[in-house]
Amino acid sequence: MFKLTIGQKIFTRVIVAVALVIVIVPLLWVFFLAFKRPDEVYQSTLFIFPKNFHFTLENFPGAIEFAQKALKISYPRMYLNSIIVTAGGLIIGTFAASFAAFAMVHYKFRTKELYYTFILLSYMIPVQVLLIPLYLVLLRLNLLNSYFALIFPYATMGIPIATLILRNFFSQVPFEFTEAALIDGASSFQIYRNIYLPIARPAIATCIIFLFLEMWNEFLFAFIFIRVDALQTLPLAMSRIGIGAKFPIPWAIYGASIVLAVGPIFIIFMVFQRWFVRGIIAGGIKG
Amino acid sequence: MIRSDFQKKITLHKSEPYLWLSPSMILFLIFLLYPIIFSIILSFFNWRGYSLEIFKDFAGFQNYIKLVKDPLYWQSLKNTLFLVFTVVFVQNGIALFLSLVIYFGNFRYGNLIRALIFFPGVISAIVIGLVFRKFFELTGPINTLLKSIGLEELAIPWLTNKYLTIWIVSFVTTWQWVGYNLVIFYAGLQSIDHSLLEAAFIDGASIQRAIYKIVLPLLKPVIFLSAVLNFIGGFRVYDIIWAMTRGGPVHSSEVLTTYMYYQSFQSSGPSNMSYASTISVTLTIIVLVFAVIRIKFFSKEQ
Repeated sequence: MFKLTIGQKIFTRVIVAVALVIVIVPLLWVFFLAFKRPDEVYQSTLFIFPKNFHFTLENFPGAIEFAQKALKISYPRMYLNSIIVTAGGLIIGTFAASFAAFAMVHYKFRTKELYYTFILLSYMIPVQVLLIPLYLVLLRLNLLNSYFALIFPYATMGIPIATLILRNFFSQVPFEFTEAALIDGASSFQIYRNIYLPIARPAIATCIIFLFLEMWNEFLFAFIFIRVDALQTLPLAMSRIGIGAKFPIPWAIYGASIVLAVGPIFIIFMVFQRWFVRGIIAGGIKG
Repeated sequence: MIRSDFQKKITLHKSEPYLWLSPSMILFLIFLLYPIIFSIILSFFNWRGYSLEIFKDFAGFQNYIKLVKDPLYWQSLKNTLFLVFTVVFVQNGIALFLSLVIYFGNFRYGNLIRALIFFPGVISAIVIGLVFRKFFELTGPINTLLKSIGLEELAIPWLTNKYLTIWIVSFVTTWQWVGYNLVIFYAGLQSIDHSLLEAAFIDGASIQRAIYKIVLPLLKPVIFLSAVLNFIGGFRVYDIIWAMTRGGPVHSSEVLTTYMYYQSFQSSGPSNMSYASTISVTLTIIVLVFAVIRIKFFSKEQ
C-alpha cells in the first residue's frame, strides 16, 4: 500500500511493539496469575511467564468459593443479574430512542430543535450528578434494591446517544418510501414498523453494542441503588473483592476472580469484534 | 418536494409526534430532569442524609460559600481538570499517533493489533482498577521489576504516595481508553480519499509530509469529536479511582465525582447531601458551559 523506507519500517514496528507490550502485559499477568499454583505466585511475580510454571485450575473453585463466602453470591447469579439489568435497559432504551428518532425524522413539530438540543446536552452531563436525587426518586417509587432501580436509569442514560445514532440513520431513509406507504393507507406505526425498523437494523445493532458496554460495566448506580447481596451485578461484586474485605484474598484467587468476570465479555468481544468497532465509530462520530 | 415539506404535510395531528416522544420524555422527566432540578434546589438547603425532613433548613448560598472556601473541593477540581487534560490531549494524542503508525505502517495484522489495543475498553473500569491495584502494590510486578534491574530505591508503595496517585490514575485511564480513540481515528483515516494521497506521493512527497499536509487537516473534525468524547468521559471518571485508591490517600486522588460520593453516601464521610448536591451543580455547570460552546462550534462547522 504505502512505500516505507527501512527507517520508517523499523520505526513503526518498534512503536507498535511497545504499545502492544504496554497494553498486553498487565492483562497477561492477571491471566497467568489465575492459572498459577498459589504457592508459585509469590516466587515469580516478575515475569508473566514464570520459570517453573505449573498450569492449574484449582484457583477457580477457590474463586467461586470466595465469592460465595465473602460476597454472598454465586457467579451464575452475578452474570444473570448483569444480563437482566443490561437487557432491560437496552430494550427499553432502544425502543424509546427509536420512537423519538422516528418522530424527529417523520414529523414536523415546533419543539423539535429544543428536543434535539436537550438530547445533546443531556448526553454530556456526568451521570454521577444525578446520584442523590435519583436515589430519592427510586426510594419514593419503591424501586430501590430491585432490578428496576438500574433498568430505568440505564435506559434513560442510553436514550440520548441512541436517539442521535438512530435519527442519523433514519434520516437517510428516502421519504418516497413513506409517501408510497401513505398512499397505500399505512398508519404511522406501520411505517415505523415496516419501513424504518427493517432498514435501520444495522444501526440498531450498533446502538445496542454501544449501550451494552456502558450498561454491562456500570458500577456507581449499582453500588448505591442495590444493597442486597443477591442482586449484585458483576462490577458491583468485583468492587468488593479484596477491598476492605474481612476476608483477605490470595493473589491467585484474585486473578481467577478477575478472569471469571472478564471471560464472558472477552468471548463476546472476540465473536462480535467487528460490531464493537462499528458501534464505537457510530457512537463517536455521530454523537 | 423536500423532506421538510413532506414532514409538514403528514403532521396533520399536532399531538402525534409527541405520542412518539412520550416514552423517552417520561423517562427523561422522572430520571433526569426532575433529579437535576431537585439537586439545584437541594443545594440551597441544609440536609444531612440521616434526617427525614429534606427541606426544613434553608441555607441560601451557604453551601456555595463553603465550597469556595473548601480546599478539598479545589483539590478535587484540580485533579478533575488534570484528568480531563490528560485524556483530551495526551490520550487523544497517543491514539492519533498510533492510528497513523498503524495505518501507514502496512501491518499485516493491523486488525488484530487494533482489536488488542481496544480490548481494555470493553472491560469494566472496576476490574481494570483491580488489575492495576495489584500491579502497583508494594510486592507487585512493577516493584519486582524495578528491584530486579537494581532500582531498589524506586520500589515504593505507589498507590499510597499522595503525590503519585493522580498520575497513576490518569495513566490507567489513558491505558484503558486509548484504543477507543484509536478506533475512531482509524475509521477517520480509512474514509480519506486515497487518490489524494497517491497524487501527493507521485509528486514525491514523503509520508510525513503527506500526513502533515493532507491527512491531519482532513482529520480535524474527527480529532475534534474525539476530544469532545474524551472531555465528557474525563469528567465522568469514577470507577477506576474508586477501585484503585478510593480517592485517597488523604483525598489526594479525589476528583469531583468521588468527592461528591464522599460527601454524601460514603459511610466514613459527613453524609452532607446538600453539600454534595452543590458540588454536583457546579460540575454540571462546568460541563454544560463547554457543551454549549461545543454545540455552537458544531453547528457552525455544518
